[in-house]
Amino acid sequence: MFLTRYNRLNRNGLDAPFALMDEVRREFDRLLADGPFPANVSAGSPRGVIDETETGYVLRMEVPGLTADGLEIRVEDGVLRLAGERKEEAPKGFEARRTERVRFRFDRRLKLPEGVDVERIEAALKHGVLTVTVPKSDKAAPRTIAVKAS
Amino acid sequence: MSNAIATHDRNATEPARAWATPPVDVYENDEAFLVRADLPGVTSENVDVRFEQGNLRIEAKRPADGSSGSRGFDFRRAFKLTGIDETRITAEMKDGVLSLTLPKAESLRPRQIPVNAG
Repeated sequence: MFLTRYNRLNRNGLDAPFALMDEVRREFDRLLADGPFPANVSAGSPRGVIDETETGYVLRMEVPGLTADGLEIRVEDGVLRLAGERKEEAPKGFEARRTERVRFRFDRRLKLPEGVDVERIEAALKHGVLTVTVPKSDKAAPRTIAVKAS
Repeated sequence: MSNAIATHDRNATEPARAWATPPVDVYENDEAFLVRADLPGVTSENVDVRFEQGNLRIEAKRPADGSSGSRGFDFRRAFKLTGIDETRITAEMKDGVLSLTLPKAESLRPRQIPVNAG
């Protein structure tokens, strides 16, 4: 993956988290294509957005109809894996007149940046939106260093 | 599938609110139509379903989700469906999916006419 190569360029590692986030964004952008409710919905990949805040990263993915039992989230070796599938059967005894919604399935692996607290990652599935919160570890949070007057 | 994400000016002084067309499935049998629409991030109190003169209109407000640059927008969709018993339409919102049941009017259901032996 491009990400790994990019990281190697940043020998001091300072820019690596940003490079990672860029890559994650690109990854999602590829899924998204165009706008708040894009065509990729019919292509079968749920739309996702990732944000960085002072305290962590927030990933949101639109997965209407997905229930918790159709979703698997794991963290392993610094990789966050999100896998899910919407299995929805056509109603019995009915004929389809229009089928724009699709079964979707995704399996995304996102390499977590340095300085996140893996133990405190949280996920919530609500009204068809999956939100995964990845907090930064305390020592990675920005701090103001007071300068003492001599 | 149409992929309309458009803005419209309600009023020049108000910022335009974006809207999107949700994907929809429609099923039919002798008794009813079933409609399912993907409305992620929408709760039941933010959905407005209307049936007027053969037009089914779905409108939903999707609030901003707090992500950077995110603004609230609307989902909108309309269909023409004839022969519906309007009084018996039911709607349910679950996991970001709207499900509608639109029973057909009695007069339009297929009926078997018994043939009497003469």
